[in-house]
Amino acid sequence: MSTLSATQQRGLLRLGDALIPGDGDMPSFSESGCAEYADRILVSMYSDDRAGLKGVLTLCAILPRPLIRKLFAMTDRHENAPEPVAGLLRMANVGIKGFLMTLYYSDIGGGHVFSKMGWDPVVHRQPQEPTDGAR
Amino acid sequence: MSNNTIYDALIVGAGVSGGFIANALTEAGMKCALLEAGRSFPSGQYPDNELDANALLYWGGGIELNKNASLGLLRPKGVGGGSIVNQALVDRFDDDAFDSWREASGVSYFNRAEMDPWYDAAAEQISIKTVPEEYANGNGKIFREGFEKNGYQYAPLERAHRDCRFEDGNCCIECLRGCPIDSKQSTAVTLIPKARAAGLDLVPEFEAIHVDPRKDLVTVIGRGGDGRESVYRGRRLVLAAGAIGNSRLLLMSGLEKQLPALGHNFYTHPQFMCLGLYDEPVNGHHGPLQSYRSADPTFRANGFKLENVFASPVAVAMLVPALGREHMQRMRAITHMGCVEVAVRDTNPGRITVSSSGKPIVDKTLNEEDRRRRDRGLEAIHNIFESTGATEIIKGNLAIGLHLMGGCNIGTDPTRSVATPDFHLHGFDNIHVADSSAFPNAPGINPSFTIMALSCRAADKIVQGAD
Repeated sequence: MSTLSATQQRGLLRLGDALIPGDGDMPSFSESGCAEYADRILVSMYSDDRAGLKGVLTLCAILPRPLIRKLFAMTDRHENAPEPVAGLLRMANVGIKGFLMTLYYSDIGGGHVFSKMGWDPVVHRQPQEPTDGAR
Repeated sequence: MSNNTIYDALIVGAGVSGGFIANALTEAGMKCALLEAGRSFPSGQYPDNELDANALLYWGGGIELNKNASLGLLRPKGVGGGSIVNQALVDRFDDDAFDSWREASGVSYFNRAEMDPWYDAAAEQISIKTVPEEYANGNGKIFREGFEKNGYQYAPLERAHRDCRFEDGNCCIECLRGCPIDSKQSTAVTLIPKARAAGLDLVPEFEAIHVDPRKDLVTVIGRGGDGRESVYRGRRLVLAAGAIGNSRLLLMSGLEKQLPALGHNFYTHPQFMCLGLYDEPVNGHHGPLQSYRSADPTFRANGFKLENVFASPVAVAMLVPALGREHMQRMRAITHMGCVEVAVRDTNPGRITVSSSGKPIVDKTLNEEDRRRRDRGLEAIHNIFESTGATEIIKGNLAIGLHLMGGCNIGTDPTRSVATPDFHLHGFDNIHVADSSAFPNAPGINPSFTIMALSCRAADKIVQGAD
């Protein structure tokens, strides 16, 4: 996570765990190991989007955890707000949720998220050998 | 890398249109360079996870938002462009779409009789097959059953693929990150390799940032993956970077005054994905991603169509409401979810501009008519889920724009359009465009096959003009 400062990394784990706390079987955001891959998304973002996200992560490093969750829940209720406030809330919601969900639900951190969801699509790169019965 | 070669044609954007035009011009003996901002992936070696796919195959890290964040835009990049990540649907436009285009543009050849030969020419270059119904997954069966129970008309789906080997248990949802067995007929495996064999220079990781149009020579300045600038020159330029890419490049090149309609008339077919929860497993991620298309004339008349789709866990996570453990519990039910989306034939044109840092800004909203079309589609989806035993229905509230069209629309009037009926920009005989940016309005039909057909027609015009 070299694109993020130590403070921002801490904020990412706190924000991630607020949204994805684990449920006893599926790991929490921080337990999943996915935060290690944040750089791979951050480098492909527009610079002003990346700066905005880093600001949010810095804030999450210092805010009390219940407040982090409350603030995010507020962005989730954007439909209740008038424009242009609703637009800003939507932008925060999609930006934050998109970043965290992409990290966690790409299942690249070794948390075995997919197997716990039963997500098992495959593509066989070579044609399978016919079984004995099909010969 | 700068290049001293003066090419017969530079082509910016290696997607569907870029691939078709590059191949046609190269086969006609023209020396061409195909310039692409994204990477070129070796055969079958696309990203194996969604995070890398979002970062490498789309602009903006996966999604770009419109100005008020009510619409997420998915804009592909990489050699093959949209044909890498799309579902390869090949639908010809109907009379209604072409009538609407003719009216909006004043272009007389927008009719089936004159466009069918170009569809045929495109079809000759790729493999098109019907998705075999016997492999329809649980989500396909819900779609079919729901349509039958509600009296809606549907049809099997035709797509551009060679052999997906469904009998081996292959799952096409994996191919939304690029097809690992090269069955999907993306231009990265069909026309671009063919053109390269005939002498095309392919330049990946070159982001065009400025065009200098002169009468006999067009210069394209771009940035490489290392951030260094380089320059390519050609006798003509073909813009094939899509609605946002083409508009952005021309706006950054200061051509707004000469082309007053530049960036206007932008459409997206806003799509709203809905989920239905079922007691029994659906496994919408198995087998073909889509097996059917809606073919209901009432839907068409009401300005929407329904799509038999499913989505990856990241996309489903964005749709599923709730937070924390409740959200995770719902995600655990992903294999019990059915999914149908409504695609709106949008009537309210948007506008593309560019920020001082070069970031595209898209001002695009739904008007009352578009919302009415959306709501009728959502009502039909509700009927489908309810009649097939869904225990809960989740309506997606974020519109997604996958079909990015307009910004450089074709037309006869230079004050209301950007490109002429002969596919060159008004006032610039040596800059051409035939991709989705040239669409006069939203057809309400998957655009890919028509991009191919228009590109075949445009390539023919360019070759004739070069003789």
